[in-house]
Amino acid sequence: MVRRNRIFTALCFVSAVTLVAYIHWANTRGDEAHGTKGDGEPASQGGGSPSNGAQNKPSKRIFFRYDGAGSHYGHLAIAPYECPERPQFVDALSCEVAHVAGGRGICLAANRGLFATYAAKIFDAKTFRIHAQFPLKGVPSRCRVSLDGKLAALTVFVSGHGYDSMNFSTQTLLVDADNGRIISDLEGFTVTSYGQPISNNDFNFWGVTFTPDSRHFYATLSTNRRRFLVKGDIACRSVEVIHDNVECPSLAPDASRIAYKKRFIVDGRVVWRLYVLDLKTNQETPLSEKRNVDDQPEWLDNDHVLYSLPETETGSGPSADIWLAGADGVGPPRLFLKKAYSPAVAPSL
Amino acid sequence: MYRLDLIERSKLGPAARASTDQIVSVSPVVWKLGLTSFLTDISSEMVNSVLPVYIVLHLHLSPFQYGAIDGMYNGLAVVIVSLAAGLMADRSRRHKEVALAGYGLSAICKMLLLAAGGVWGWLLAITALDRIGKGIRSAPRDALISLNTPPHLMASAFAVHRALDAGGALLGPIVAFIFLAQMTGAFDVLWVTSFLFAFLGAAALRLYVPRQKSSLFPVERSGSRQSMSAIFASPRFVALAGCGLFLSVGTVNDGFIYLVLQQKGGTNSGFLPLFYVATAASYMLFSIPAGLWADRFGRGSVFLSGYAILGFIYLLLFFLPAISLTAQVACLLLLGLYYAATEGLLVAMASAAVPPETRACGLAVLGTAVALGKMGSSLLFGGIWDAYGVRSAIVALGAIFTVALLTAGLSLRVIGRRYSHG
Repeated sequence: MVRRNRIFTALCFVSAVTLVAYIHWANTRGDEAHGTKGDGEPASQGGGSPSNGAQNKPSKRIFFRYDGAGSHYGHLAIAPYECPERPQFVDALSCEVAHVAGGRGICLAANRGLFATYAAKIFDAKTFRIHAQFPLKGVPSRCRVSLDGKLAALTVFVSGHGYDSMNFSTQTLLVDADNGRIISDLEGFTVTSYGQPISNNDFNFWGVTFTPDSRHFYATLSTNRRRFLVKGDIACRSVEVIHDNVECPSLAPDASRIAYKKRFIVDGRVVWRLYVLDLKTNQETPLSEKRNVDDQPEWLDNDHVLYSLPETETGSGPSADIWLAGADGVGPPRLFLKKAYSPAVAPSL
Repeated sequence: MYRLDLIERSKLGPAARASTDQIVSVSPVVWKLGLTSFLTDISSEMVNSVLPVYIVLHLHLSPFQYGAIDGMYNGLAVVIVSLAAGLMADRSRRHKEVALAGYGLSAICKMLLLAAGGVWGWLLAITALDRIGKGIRSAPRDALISLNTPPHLMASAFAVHRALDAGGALLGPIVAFIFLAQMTGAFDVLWVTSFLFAFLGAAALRLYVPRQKSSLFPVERSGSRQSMSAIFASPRFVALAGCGLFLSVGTVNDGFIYLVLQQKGGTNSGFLPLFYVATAASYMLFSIPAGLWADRFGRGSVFLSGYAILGFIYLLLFFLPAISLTAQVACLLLLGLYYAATEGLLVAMASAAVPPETRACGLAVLGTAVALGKMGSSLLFGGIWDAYGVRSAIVALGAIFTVALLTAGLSLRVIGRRYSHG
């Protein structure tokens, strides 16, 4: 018994030492990854308008969530389209997902206390001052701001309790971006399918994208194990089913097409492939990206979309990369930006 | 006054003394098995509590659409594996080694989490494997508890084990949240910590729990078919497994109770993990008193009281329009008390009804019955909800629960009368 006690004590000691060593390594790992950026070292700012060092005026700016390790982990970042790997950071905004349009931004953030709670913050895209915020009912998933910056939409995962790990439902809200007031929960909208009203308590909505006039939107409605593209009318508080098997739609700037992820079952597993749907002809075009993409695409311009994929190279904790593919399905996808998630495209200042 | 005091003292005095005696006489092997479960539960609950957030926020995946496909397969796989493990433990008489294999498998899974990175297919496979590890170890471990315990202390022994088990389930999420609050996004540190706890749990089992003496098994080894027929030849066991199955069909998932509590109480959903922690704390506190009480004053009545408490919680949730913070806490304490009065006790009663040489297999059958009951319950609940709405689902389940409770009361009384021992 004494010998066994000694062995067990020794094992406890070894475990404790291993843990301390690992924590130490994990902490320095972050610093190194941050330090080796060398001349690419990103400039940091606590607020105020980002001043760009580049001589040529960039054509666009890309907002994203920085996914790399180090002190900027999870912060909102902004980069000119021409050199996205040299971003500036908004250290005042730490976001799980974010989106910017029409001079406004929305940031879904986690407050990490002993137990995490989540909040939506609406901010000015120039000054980064937060002018409205409200608590969220679940884990942030998607968000979008309308082109004029007047409206925002967000989707969170609401789970019965955190331990029933795979049992989720969604909540999708439309928000007045001027004051952060919740306009409505999409589950309160009336739903019609081919002219017939339908209702079911298994309705789940997610992935809103606004039309340029900010009066309509597209989103995904899931019911009875199918996922439909719906078009919504905000004033009438109604949505109509218009296409089958569309998730996380994203409307092109010219409002003629929708980029989305289409669901397939391959070897008993769910996988999503990126497609573009022409809203006039209902023609579906598969993109050249053949990997499993679980993201709401973002249009770079009328011919290209951005989307994120899990980082392919092995290494420290998982992070995402942003990829770029042609909307016509031609030409291979290319890596756009490493260690980044949740891209939003905005015109240059 | 004086007389009453005397009566009270004469009642309580020996009872209180007997309680301490009872705890002291619970075998050290049971305490060591409790230590193993305590460490393993810290390990597994710290992973379970952060997995949803990890999947959504750090892997950027949409989890709820995958669940339906895998849940059923996993459940059935675990059922088959646990029956096989029970049979194997009985036939080889190596309960310890079989249980160790289950604990070891779960420990390895924590290490695999580190290697899996963000690959979703891997994560699913690992969580499935982890559940299979749990399926392998549960019945042989409970058999070990019962084989190291004299019949009159059976409920106390399981109560000690379950109290330690709940203690681990209580600490796991707290450890996880403290780590994540200190080191944002450092999930790999969490996986390593979880692995170390699981490793120490398996080591405690390997080092401290002796192999079973062959004197415990008077009967020669028997084939799987014979041991199955031996198990089902015991009317006590069949009645208990039937009660377990029927009552689980009428029992709604904890997640739903938490959801109703949170919504009627208007609590921020960020505090849902706290509900779980409060339930585990109450389970831990009440487990040993409930077990001692059951051994002294009757297991059947304590078991039924536990389910009556659950029925009371259902009534509260159904009829109260709004639930204050105090009432929320009270409900969670009652939920823990329900677990303390029922979960380990059912296994204790079943252990007393199965001969030692088929004990692990019998407990695996019992576990299967309860698991199938739970699966049936969620299918039924979901189906009725979809077809007729949530109120109908609750009323239907409530009706099943009431009938199950009455049936259980009746059958426990019958078997109690016919077999007055144990």
